[in-house]
Amino acid sequence: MRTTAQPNQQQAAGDAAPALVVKELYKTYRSKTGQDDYLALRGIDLSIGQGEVFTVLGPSGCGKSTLLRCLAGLEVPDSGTISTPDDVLFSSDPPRLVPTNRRGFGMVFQSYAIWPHMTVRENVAYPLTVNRRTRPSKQEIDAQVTATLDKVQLGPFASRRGNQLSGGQQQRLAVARALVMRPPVLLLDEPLSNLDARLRDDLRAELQRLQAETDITMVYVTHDQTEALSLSSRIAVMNQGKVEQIGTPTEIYNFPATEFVATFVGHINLIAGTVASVEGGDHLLVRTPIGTVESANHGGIQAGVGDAVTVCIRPENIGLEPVSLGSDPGGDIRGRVLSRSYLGELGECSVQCGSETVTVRAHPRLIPEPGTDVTINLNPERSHVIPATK
Amino acid sequence: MAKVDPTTTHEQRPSPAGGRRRRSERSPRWLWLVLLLVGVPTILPVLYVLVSSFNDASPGQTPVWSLAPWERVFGSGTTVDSLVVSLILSLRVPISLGIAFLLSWMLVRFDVPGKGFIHSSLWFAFFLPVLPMTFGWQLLLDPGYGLVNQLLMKLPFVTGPVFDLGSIPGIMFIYLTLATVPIMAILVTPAMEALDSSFEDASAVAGASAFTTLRRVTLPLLMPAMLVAFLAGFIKSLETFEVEELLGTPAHLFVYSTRIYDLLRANPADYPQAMALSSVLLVLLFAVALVYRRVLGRRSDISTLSGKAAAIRIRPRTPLVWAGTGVIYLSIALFLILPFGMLIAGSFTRLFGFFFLPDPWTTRHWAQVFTSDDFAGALWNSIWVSLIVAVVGTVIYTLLGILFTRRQGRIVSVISVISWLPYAIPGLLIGTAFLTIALMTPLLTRFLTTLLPLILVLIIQAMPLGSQMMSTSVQQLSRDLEDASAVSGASWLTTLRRVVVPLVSPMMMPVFAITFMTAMKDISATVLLASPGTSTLSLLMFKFATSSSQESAAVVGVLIAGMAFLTSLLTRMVGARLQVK
Repeated sequence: MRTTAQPNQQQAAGDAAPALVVKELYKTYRSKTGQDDYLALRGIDLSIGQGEVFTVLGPSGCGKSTLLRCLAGLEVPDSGTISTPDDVLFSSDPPRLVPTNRRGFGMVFQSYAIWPHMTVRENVAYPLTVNRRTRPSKQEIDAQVTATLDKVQLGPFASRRGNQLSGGQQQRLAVARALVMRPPVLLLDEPLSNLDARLRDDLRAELQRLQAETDITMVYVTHDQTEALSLSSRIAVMNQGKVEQIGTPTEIYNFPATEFVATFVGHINLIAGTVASVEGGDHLLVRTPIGTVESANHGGIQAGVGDAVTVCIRPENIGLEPVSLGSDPGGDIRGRVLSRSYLGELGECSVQCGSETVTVRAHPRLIPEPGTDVTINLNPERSHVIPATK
Repeated sequence: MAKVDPTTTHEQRPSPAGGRRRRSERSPRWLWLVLLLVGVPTILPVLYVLVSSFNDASPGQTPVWSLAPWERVFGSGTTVDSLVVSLILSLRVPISLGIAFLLSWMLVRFDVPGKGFIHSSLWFAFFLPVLPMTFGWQLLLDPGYGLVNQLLMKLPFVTGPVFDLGSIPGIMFIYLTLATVPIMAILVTPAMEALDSSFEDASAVAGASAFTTLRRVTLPLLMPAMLVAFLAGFIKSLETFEVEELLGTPAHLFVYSTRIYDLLRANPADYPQAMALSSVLLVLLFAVALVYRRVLGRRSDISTLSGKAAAIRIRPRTPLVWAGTGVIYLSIALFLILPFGMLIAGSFTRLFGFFFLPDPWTTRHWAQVFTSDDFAGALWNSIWVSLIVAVVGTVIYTLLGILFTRRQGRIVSVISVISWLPYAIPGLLIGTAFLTIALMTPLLTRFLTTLLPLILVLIIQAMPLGSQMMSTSVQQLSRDLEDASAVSGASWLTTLRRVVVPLVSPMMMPVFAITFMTAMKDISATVLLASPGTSTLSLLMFKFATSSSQESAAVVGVLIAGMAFLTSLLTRMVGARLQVK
């Protein structure tokens, strides 16, 4: 269920024609009996701008890899269109399909797909050598391969066999091979998921650097929110074949449009309630089990008095103070700390407020012991309302 | 606290989880016994053949040690020619491999309609004995009465028969279509399936056409598996016998196996030359076998070809796919169904091959065969022998499979190599060696009139494949399962009985079926060992065929082919449920 009047764009910002446009894409995997048909894509609409890093974020099985493979031509959708400024790559009406090897994209596979029987140099040179008609001269190929290998710092390994590289090196080789043709779009299918955490951080920075240098359009698929938030210009959050929300990382994180987006990206408190009154157009007073809460309506949802809504607020956006004996809590919400955890750079605690439990995060020093009576306050600007979840 | 079974020795307890360390230096006595039991029937014939190739006297006479048999081998034009012809005919292996590669690629990478049917056809061809189908082809392509030849001769510019099965191309054609291509396809397909499709996807994204991808990515990556299949096929191709005997010998076209048979049945028989000729082959085959083992061992070094990635991408059906599918189905119809149909028809003809007589059809031959004493005896023998071989064999191969996988040590490696040796020994040679050893040993001679030598030879013949299949199945079992049994207090025997065997029993079904059918089909290993009272169905068919009772041969052929069909169906059904392909 999509909310109306989303300030976050489905259209790319900027005047240039979008690099890739997807309209109403559907794909079903048919089973033998027809009873186990799997609806992988259920009406995807996207517009990816030139030079954007566009991330498709979602859990396993949400359809993000299927979407990417449809863009690459490795899967054929059932209906819809996929187009670039120059060409329609796929369309069901009128029927048109440009095969994979003519789309001219670069792609980095999750398993890297480095050919073990070729050297590093041969792996990178391959895209340049496959088309006899447009094949450059040997010197040009060598020059381009060397330049690309240098860009990913694999120059010294040029004559190694593909399977003699470490995981991180293979990943960089995969990127080099994808970039050597200077494609207009780079598709990446969870490229960092097979690496350990440290390597992941290094290579994420590497990808950012490469993207900044080449200003290439990237379509990045991942289930990892850290990658999504740190790399992207915009994120599309997918769930069960549908796009739940498209927006910048800030928008996705701070103003999730649905409960799924809210809970998938980071931790969040969801407090159900009913609208008590509408304040000044874009603020709502919501009656909840923990008290009456004021929240901004960043998503612009249509909500009148009495409508059921859910207030969302991130744990780090909740203020916490121990109650000193005899003080007057005023309008703040009272609670008692149930438990706390030490997370290194943050501390976290659960606060019981009435029948609800609220999670709060702050600097470890500021988290009181369990059993302490506290008041919490929710910053209206940092709160967010979404339609009530069923 | 785990209960330790005091009746088992230290070596016999299951090893700890992940433990690859050697156990006791002193191997238990039962292991030596196994070595003896497996080694003697396997190595003895080989040694016998090699040694007696230097003995210019017939078995039973005082040995005359000389090089004369070898001189006769290389001095005889026929013998040398037979070796050359054998090598020429083995060219069918690389040809089939190429065809099988393309076939397998199509079946695995594309959405070919009716894939299940095609796989079933391949398995049917695998189980089918070649000889009965040859009868079918004779009805079509024999220079004398073959239908196709007759039809073509009606054309104005055709003066003589166009096709002659009794030639090198003829024999090669039969094996290619009925045996080698299906077998190569069955060997190559698992490797093709295991290949991570992202290698080919990456090539497509990089701009390569399907053919370029096939040439530059798929083929090189599959080369190790294809090399293994090639060597296995090459070895097997040098061992074939019955088709060459039926078609080649009347045309004076010998391969070495029919030449040996010829030498042994001549009057007077030339045992020594037969032994020398056998030795030549043995040396050649062992050399190839060594290469094969080495290549097989090296394959595990090739880093992951099998992917963790998503399922294999199946491409949609383009016109080219439909064309390829058409070729496949046409081939099945032409090379499998057609000769089979002709075989059935031939069994009902009054005179084999003559369809245009006034009253060509009769059930006389069926009646004759069924009521003959020979047939009843042969049928009984065949079923009895094949069942015993299959039952005893499966038990032995299962135990061997478990042994090879779960134990280490020098002796186990030796047993493993020995158990594989019969693969490189042609059936005819095993049969010849067993025969002559039995003739020379008074103690064993009386067994020659029983079914025992047949059973023994057939168990040995099926040992390489059977123990390999079971060993693979055991390998897939996690050691944790057996370790959990040990920790729970079970002895190794109990673990074997209650954990291992039940878990590998799914594989025992295909092993049983293959062993049963292999025994049923066999001609070359048993032809010299069977006496009139101990003939099998296959041998009866062979006798009919080579003595111009082709109608009766066709009848028996239909029966055996029918059995093969049922066995292949059964295996496919069970295999499909277990994902064994």
